[in-house]
Amino acid sequence: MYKGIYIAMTGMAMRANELDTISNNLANINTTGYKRQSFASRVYPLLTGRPADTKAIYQDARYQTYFGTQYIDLKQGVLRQTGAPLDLAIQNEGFFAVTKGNKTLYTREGSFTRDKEGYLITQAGLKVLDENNSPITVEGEKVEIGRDGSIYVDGNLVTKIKLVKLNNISHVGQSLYEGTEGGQADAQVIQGWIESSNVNPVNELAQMIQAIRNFELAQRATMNFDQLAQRAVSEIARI
Amino acid sequence: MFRSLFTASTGMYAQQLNVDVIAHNLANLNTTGFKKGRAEFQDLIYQNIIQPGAPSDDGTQYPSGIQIGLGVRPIAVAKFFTPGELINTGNSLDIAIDGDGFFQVTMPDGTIAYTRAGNFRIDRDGRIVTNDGYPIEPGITVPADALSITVGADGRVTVLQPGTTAPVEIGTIELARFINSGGLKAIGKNLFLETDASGAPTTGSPGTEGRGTLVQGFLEMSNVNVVEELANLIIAQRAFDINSKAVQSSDEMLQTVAALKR
Repeated sequence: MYKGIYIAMTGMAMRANELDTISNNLANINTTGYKRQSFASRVYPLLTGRPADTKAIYQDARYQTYFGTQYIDLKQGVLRQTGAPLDLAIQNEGFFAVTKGNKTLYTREGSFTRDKEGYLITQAGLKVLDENNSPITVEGEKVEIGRDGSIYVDGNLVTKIKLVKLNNISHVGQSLYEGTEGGQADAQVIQGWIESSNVNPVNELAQMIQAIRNFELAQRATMNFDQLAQRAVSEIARI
Repeated sequence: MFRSLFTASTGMYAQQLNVDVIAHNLANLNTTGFKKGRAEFQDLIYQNIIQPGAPSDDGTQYPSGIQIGLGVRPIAVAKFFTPGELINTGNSLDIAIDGDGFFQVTMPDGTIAYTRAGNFRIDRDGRIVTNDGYPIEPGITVPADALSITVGADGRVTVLQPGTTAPVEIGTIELARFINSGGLKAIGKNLFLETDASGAPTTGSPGTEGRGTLVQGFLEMSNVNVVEELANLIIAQRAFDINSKAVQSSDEMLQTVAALKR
């Protein structure tokens, strides 16, 4: 039958994926340290691919269902002052390291707190790591954290918080990221502030409108193929 | 169906909770010893359509893959024990804590609760009690003929009695301090209870072991900052609004799908 109907439908499925991603960004517009997901459509293989082989075109067209490349936009989020001594924002690149089970994961959500043993933990209870990959304890009255991540308790240097660059980064949910460590990050820690998400509503709304309109266009195209098929059945048959 | 419909609804739910927390802060703008809360959110799980680093059909690796997030969830309403402003009342039983620590009061069922609200009164038996009538722990009884009460920075309570010039010590107000005061459980009436997360308190005289000192004649106001709360309220409302647009968009797309079939 008409191959085009599948191509048009892959367009629709792709726009739906785009809307899913936009919705997730918007849902996390107020999530501390969230980094938005960005996407781009992949070049249509139908135009670039193997024009001689019709079978290949057909297969490539079906592949379109899934593709659009996607990446995490690590742009800086807006910093917000809170005044709480254990609220830490990272300015510039880099992540805090936390331990979950026996895995090390990474986060920009710097709204930390302390547990009853004095460990520095995230709001989800994960221990924050220092430069030597050991959990940090802060017991004392006055906690001061320098721009370079040095932690002073009652005026004494205790340890330095770990700040790493990440490669091959991916979301794991719960404000955590996975990736491979790429050395010390060129970052500054700002005490008493938190980093808001880097989602920009204007941007997301514009993309949302684009996704809907493109979805409608693809739907029109699909319907046109339907009409074509109907003519083939009813009108050509009459001749 | 479209994930975005449900993803956006988690966003709306989260912002609604955010407004709830902000409204509670604003309602307690003038509550003595109130400590503000802040709703904390985390992104939910991700559906991995293509794992980052998976091999592509050209034999290369996908550097970032395709992950579709499924929304947001509230993880905590963190309490902030930053100091509130001290206001001068001149009342001898209005006591503020300058620094860390909580007053201890005995509730009717015998458990100890903790509070930062130092607006105490004297009941008919002469005991120092909260406005709800809960006696302070350890209990202090003021003699009926006391002319004036003085509370020192170190917690010692002394009274002047008629016919004497030397003040008489009648007890000490002790403070309790927690390693993680954010883990305390608020039970209303300005009171907090110890939990497993807060750890056990260390109690003792004010000014020792990191506990704050007492200031007589002052009250600690709530630490809510109106400007900050209003800014957060605006953000929460707009975020709610925008998430509703995503729900609408999903709905529009569904209509378009329905129109496919004539």
